[in-house]
Amino acid sequence: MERYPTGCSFDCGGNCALQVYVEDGCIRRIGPDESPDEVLRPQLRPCARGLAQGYRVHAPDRLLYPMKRIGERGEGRFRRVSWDEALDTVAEEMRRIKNTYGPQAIFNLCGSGNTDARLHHTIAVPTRLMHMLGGCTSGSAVTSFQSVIVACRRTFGVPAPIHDRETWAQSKLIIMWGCNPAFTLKGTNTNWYLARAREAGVRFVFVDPVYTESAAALADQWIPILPGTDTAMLVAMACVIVSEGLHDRAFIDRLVYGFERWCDYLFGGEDGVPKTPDWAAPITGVPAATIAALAREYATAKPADLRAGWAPGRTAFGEQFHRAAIGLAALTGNVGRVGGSPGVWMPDNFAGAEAFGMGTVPVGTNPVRAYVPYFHWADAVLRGKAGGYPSDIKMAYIVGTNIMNQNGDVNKGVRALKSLESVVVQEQFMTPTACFADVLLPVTTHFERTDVQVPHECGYYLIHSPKVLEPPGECKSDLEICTELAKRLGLEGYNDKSESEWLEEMAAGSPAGGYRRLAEQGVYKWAPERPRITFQENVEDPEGHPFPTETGKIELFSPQLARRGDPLFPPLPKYLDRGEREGFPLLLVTSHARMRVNSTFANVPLLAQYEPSELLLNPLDARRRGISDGDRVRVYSAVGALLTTARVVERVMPGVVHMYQGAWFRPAADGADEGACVNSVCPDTVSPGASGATNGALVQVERA
Amino acid sequence: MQLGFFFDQSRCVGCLTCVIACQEWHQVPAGPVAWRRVITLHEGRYPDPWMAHLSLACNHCEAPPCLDACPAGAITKRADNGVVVVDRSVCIPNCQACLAACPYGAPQFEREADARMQKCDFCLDRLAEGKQPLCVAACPLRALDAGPLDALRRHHGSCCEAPGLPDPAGSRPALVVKPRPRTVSAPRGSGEAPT
Repeated sequence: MERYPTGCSFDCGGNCALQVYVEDGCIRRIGPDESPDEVLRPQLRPCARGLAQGYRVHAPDRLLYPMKRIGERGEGRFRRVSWDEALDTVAEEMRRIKNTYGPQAIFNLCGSGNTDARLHHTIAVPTRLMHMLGGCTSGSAVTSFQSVIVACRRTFGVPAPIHDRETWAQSKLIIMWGCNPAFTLKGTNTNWYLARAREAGVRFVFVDPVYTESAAALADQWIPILPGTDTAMLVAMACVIVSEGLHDRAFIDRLVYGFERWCDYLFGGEDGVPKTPDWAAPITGVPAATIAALAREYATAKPADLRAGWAPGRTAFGEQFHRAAIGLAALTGNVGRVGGSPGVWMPDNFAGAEAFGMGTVPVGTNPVRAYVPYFHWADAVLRGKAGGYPSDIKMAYIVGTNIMNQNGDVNKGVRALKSLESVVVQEQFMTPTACFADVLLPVTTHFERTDVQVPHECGYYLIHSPKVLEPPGECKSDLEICTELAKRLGLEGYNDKSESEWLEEMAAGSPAGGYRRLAEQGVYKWAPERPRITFQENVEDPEGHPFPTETGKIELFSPQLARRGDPLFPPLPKYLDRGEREGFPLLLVTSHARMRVNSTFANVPLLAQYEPSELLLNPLDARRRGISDGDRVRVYSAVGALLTTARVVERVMPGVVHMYQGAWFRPAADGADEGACVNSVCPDTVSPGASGATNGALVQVERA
Repeated sequence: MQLGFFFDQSRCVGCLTCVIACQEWHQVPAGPVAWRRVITLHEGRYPDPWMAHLSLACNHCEAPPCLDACPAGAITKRADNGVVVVDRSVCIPNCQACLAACPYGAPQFEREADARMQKCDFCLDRLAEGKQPLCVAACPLRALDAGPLDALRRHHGSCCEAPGLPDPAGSRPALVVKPRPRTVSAPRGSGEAPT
């Protein structure tokens, strides 16, 4: 039995080291990283999913051969064809669509299925092809945390990662707002660093509609809040802090732009409504005294670390949540300070793995510059230019994503895919999206090709992931498929390198000192000389290091947004009411499951047996509907219905119901989704800052 | 010498990595058998709920009730390290007397009518190589530890009582637990060094 050190490569929030044991071309076991475990160079311990992925790689339902659709689109009936026939057909379709309608009629729907990998990167590889072909329509916003990016750019001028994790224990108070890293990881080992911070005496407060696994492990206090109202609580906290003189006047004078204008809003100068805790209490469901107490605690526990999770940002006005949280961090002088935080929790390496000297496959530029918020992909397909989108879409090219399942309003996604002239999917499994392909191309897993990987959200390491298995059946990598298409389309220079030549080029400037050294080491870890404290130099030396904003300061008031003039994306952080609630009294929050990576792994029985489909609801809401624990229930909204099992629990706020996202859509004859994919009932609403607004979806629940 | 486990319930987030790591290492497929299990406990009423998890394998008890209960003598306790092992060739198919006797539900059976007992063997194969049991090596929170019981007690205390855990008096489990406090306002930062 051969043992190979390698890594995971999924969109889970971490990227961990594995030891894969292979015998007779088959994975026998997967074990964890067992190198020395040190605080600055910890073991990169994988989770259940990483360890169970042998079952996924060798699954009986792996796609093994190129296939073409027979029967109606979406029926899921296919016949096997040769690679030549499949590739000729796809290339001919791409040429036809481009020549008939223009390149922007091709929708480049590539996703984050495998983006820790630098070479076989599921976004870069197809995007490079589309750009060389003459352009395409592409998705423009990140599904996970678009509102965080927007808020950071409009307030700090740049993305703002959290401080290095070994410093977290130096905080007096950490407020975890709408996040459950127990299941979302937030970087390999983050839960371990959080546990250490707690044990060192840091006080933890959780603000969340659900008492999560992370809250259960860490929280000194849980404050339940209605989804989508977080900004109201934040601005009420700001109101308390300023009215009681608890703000950091010196910090604000030196580093903040727009303080007076925000105060004007907070104290009701703009609209005659002071944003007091008494104002926020009925909106948020949080008692006024609780809001005021947390405000005082956050302002006086110095340093304090407010961490706005991404879930409250995925609401109707999600960018306001992140802008307000940054505002609080600035008011209290916690930005750029050890034990404080910038108020947001961004991935370190979002700015690109360039920080580690590692690029990916260069994508060039999109000659037609046509972009659609990713979350609105189906709406863009159905409505095109007439609906205000940049192009009329005729063909979907789908790589590394179960896009129909994983964005709001699955039923609209079905209609969108059915409406197209052509659908091509590169996949490993027959996902609900893959069922809609005209041509379905089978793709290798990362164990069947060689790559180098960077950390998913944070950490200082690189992983070499060697080819440890032969591809099953006739699977090819996305890069091989796109290379074949490029040849057929006459695109010279798409891929003129071997796998190892690419990898040598990518890793040449990396801390590992080149590809060969990284390959020898397997996993290369290092520790920076000093822990990174985000914005420390901007705060300590504002003249020498101004914030990269128009004013050089942290912009509570954004001149850029003022010029935009959109009342729904105002220049100051504000609570905006979403309005409509008619007929759907419950607010659905959807979060990441421990046994799935979004929709990946949903078809692995070893994991699925621990992840039953459930709706969590409070006994109060259950009783009103005659629902008992274990009952089959129907959850429905304005856009669809699903069937699942009720779990009546005390850890969900009344008025709120919770489901884990990522189950596979499986419509019954009456259209209700028996697979319990949350996006069957979540709409495809997009915030003014282009974030998908899945959380706080308006639903009703009844016994099935 | 007696080997045992340490479980830090205060750290556990219920991610089930220990369960899957064990199933993966010992090649236990999807189904009713899991040599290590995680039980989730719920108490309290909204808005003061309480939740904790209990990760349990075989506790390799110092007075194992399963051993006494087995009519076939299939269960023995190793003299060198106290690990409780089962000889499956001797086990009476589906007798399950051991399961009835075990306070922790450690003995595991497939669904087949002729299923023989299987359970945690403390990763004796890894022990021979000087390595920790795989659940310990895999836990992302470092909430599990294993080793000589007296050393575990020196390092982590001798507590063997935690929410969800049966009274240790009868079987004397080779287990040390750091329980999750039932109230969320327990004092923090007691000076204990994080491991």
